Amino acid sequence: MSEITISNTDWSILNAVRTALSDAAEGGEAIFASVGMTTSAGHLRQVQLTGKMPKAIILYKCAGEHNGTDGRRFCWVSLELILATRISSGGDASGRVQEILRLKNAAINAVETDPPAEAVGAATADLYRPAILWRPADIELSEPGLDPWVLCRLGLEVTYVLSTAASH
Amino acid sequence: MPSVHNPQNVSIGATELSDVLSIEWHEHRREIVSPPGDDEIYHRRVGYGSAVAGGRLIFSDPARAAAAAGRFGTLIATLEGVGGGSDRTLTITSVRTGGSNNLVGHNRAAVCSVEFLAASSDGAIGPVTLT
Repeated sequence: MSEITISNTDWSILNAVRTALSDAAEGGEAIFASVGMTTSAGHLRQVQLTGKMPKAIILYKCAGEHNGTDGRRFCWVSLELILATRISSGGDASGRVQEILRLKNAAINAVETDPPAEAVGAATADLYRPAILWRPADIELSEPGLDPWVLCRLGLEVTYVLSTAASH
Repeated sequence: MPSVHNPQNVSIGATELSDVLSIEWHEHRREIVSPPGDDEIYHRRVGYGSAVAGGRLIFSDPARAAAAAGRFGTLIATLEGVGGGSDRTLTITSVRTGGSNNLVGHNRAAVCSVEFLAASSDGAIGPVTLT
């Protein structure tokens, strides 16, 4: 047997993002009533859209890596922040749009204010990755009157560097 | 297809160079071309004369490049085998590095390079070996 060490940095980053979202407050009041995790958007729809709102659910999507200099590994973990709240409205959805965009921007500010400690930008001749890369937000305004949940799916990639290929 | 990549453990003399992205080396030989005769388009005799060996080191950090500038000694680097290729050791004797060239922009890695020339020990043996 070979003794190895597992740093599990992917998890540390997920946990740091969860903490940043949980701790985010405006005027002393938490932005998100609950922050959870999932590995399935389907599961989220079935069992997690209940109770207090607004919610932030972290969906782990995948991880990747690239050769760095001097034997380092440039790694990234790809997440999706699913922000959800319930807003009933009539024909005009502007109130729902305003609120879900507020939550989207709150989530970005929360993570940028308290980013994962491991997050660093990385670059080689053919690769450039910022420490935190935000993907375009996808807003799902569900049908008014039928499903009051409004969702924002916000992609997020966090890059970190491992000193060796065996430092994962 | 065997190849090599990922230059590591790069040094010039006693100086270790960190974060070398790429090493480029070449041997430029002077072209010897006899003039064509009247009404001739092509040269009848061509060849190569004396050679100048050199190259450049590529970094993504201006500070790393600055640390490599103005050095003299034997350049050694490990090149990692890929695609079934073996690891190789690049050795270039009597390397003298010049100054650095740097380009830093938005949303991209900085491109920093340091050129070098290499001398032969006796004029007959080339300064570059790859083992």
